[in-house]
Amino acid sequence: MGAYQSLLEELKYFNMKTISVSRDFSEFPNLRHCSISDNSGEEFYHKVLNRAFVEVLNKNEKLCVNLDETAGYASSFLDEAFGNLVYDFTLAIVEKNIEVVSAQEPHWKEMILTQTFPQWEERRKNGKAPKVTANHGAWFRLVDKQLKQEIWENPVASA
Amino acid sequence: MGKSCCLCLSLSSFNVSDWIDAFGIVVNALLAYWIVRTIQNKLTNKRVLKDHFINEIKEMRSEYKNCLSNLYSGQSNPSRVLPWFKLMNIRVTDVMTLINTKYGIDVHLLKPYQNDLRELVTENADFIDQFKKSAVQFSDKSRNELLLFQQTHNHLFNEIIIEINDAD
Repeated sequence: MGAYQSLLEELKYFNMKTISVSRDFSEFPNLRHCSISDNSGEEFYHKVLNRAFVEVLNKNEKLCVNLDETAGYASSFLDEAFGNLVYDFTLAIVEKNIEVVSAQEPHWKEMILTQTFPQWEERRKNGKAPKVTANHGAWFRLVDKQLKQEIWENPVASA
Repeated sequence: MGKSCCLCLSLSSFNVSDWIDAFGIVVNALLAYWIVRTIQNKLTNKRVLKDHFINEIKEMRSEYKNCLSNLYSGQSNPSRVLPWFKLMNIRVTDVMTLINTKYGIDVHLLKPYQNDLRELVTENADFIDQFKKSAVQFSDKSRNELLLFQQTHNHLFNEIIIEINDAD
């Protein structure tokens, strides 16, 4: 990407609240669930993404999630993190309020938008709750257009 | 002395059309020299660049082969697999983008290695179960899947090399 394009990209996200996986979570994101690896997608969602998303939602703003500068991803990490987001807030709200940046590996953005989002929206409609494999503090979910904070699921015995 | 006198006499006997012909011969000779040199340089440059990209493709094939071999023999540390795939993906994208621009070769030709192989490994049950261990031992079923992948997609590297070589 040229310097001019990079500058335009930066300006585009200048006013948005930005979270970076490497800066705000870990340089070494691993697999899907807490039970199988440290720094999992499940942990990222509960520690960082859910709260950051609610913060921008309350201000009617957009959240920029920067996936660059980590040591690499497994698709399951991203699927779990962004999938939970769709499950808790609906596809329409998530699409309206999030911007994914992945300049180093652009296919991750494509995967999240074209696979994770629709698959988890389907899952949400079918009421198939996400699997939780560790104890997490209360997190936000949109219920009847109201944000509610609860412990919505409890850990299952195995991964 | 005698020879230069002869040359002077013959030059003095040149009429205008002879001078024009002589000038034409000299210009044509210079032009031919310049064209041959330029074309030769261009051909050499093209060949050097092609050889460079062909070597890059060969190196990438070798890297993937080593990775698959390590996975197959149970010598891969799971936590190092993700960074390795990221580095390789960036390298492959860079090279494929350049050869696409230069020779019009499909930029997605190595997608199976960039995406499908990573999915095959990182979504594998053995890999997930043993992620916290220092090395992952794949079951026979998983190893067969890796072998099958290699058998199915190994030709892609040769196809790219042929396309680079045949490009104008």
